Amino acid sequence: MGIPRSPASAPSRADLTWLRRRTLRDRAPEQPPVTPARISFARARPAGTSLDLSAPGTAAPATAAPATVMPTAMPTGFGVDRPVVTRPVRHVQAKSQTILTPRQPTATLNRLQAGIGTLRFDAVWPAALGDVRLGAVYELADGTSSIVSRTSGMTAGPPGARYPVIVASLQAYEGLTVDLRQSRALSRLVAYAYSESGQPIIWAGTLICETFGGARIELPLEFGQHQGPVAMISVYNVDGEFVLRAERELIIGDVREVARAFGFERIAWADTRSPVP
Amino acid sequence: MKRGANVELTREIPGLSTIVLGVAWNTGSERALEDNLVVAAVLCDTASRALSERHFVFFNQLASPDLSVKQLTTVLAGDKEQIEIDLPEVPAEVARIVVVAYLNDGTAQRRTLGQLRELQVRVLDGTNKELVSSENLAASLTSETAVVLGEVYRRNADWKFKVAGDGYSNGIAGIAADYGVPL
Repeated sequence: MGIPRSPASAPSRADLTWLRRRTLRDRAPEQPPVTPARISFARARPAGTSLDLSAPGTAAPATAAPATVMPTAMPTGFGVDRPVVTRPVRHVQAKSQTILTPRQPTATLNRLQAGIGTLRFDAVWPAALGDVRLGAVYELADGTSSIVSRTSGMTAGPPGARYPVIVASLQAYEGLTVDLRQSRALSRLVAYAYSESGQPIIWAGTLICETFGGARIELPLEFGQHQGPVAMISVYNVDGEFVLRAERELIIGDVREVARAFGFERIAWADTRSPVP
Repeated sequence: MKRGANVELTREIPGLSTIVLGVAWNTGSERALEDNLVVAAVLCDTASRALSERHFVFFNQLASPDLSVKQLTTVLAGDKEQIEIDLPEVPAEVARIVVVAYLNDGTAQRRTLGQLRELQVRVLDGTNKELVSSENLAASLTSETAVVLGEVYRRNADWKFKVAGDGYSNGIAGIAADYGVPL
């Protein structure tokens, strides 16, 4: 019989990666940095994040009302006197339609939905919007960060990969496709849209995300008028589940500022729209 | 073992508690086939329906909720994928554990399992000793993109193993429909 060991001295189990969510969290989930270039579309949102990064086993019932709690430990400058709103995990059901709204900005794909087939994003917008383009800035598990977009010439990520994790394409609509066989390689992405000529846009249309099983998550692109790119939606890989969040962030600047606003600091830029190849 | 054949596991080997389902294949030079082939285990009830989406064990969900079925990330003994089953820990509501292989319908050019040169499933004990092994299941595959390789199932108080080799031309979607896996 072996000598009992403490969890701290036990050998690591690379085959039991889900156990990581059982560890105590000693720090809050990382927040995207707030920069002057980023205009929050949800100014009335209470302090704190609405992105629920809790493990799936701790999910509250989907019908539960948002809970309001006071933060137990918050750095100064974050408005400690204001309540933090935590929202229940909203799991997407097979073949269902889920709409991301300011009140319900998140939806979660379970590990099957995030690991089988592809995850497809289609930007459906009226032709009257003009030269609007779609792209995504992404970060892989190995730390690689870059963008994909049809107009930048970087249509697949990572560049030069035999089997890219994410591809920008044009089918019926401009779109993005994530290869979910490689879902564990993807840490996060932010999909954005912008006018190629830099003209002001009165935003309209819908960003549609569809899983292999036919579940649709829709984000109405009703952002009003803005000159500059818009960060539409983010996808975070949380223990194998994908958390989709409507960002609705109006960015002053160009694609480079979208990346910086969400903390993608490990990209070297050739110009304001194109990373160094 | 030929397709359809079955064998007693715990009746033949009393005290057998841990088994490993090993899957091996040979794709020749088809790199896309190799990289997109996925092995999974579906924990089913007596009606051969998956208990929930949590009862589908594969690379993005490495264990069943009760931890009785686990996909191993370090594979030994020449297999390409291995699934470990702790038989006494399998919940009573699980009547059968079906092991499948499928080609992920991703961004790569479409392939079929008919391009496989070899495909085999076998059962090992907890010490990696082979107990039984299937025939080459690739020989009967043509345009299929998913296949049920075999299943471990309860028979009275014992566990048995059966080789299947049933192909699906509609891939994992077909298997999910047949076994009630919610996608």
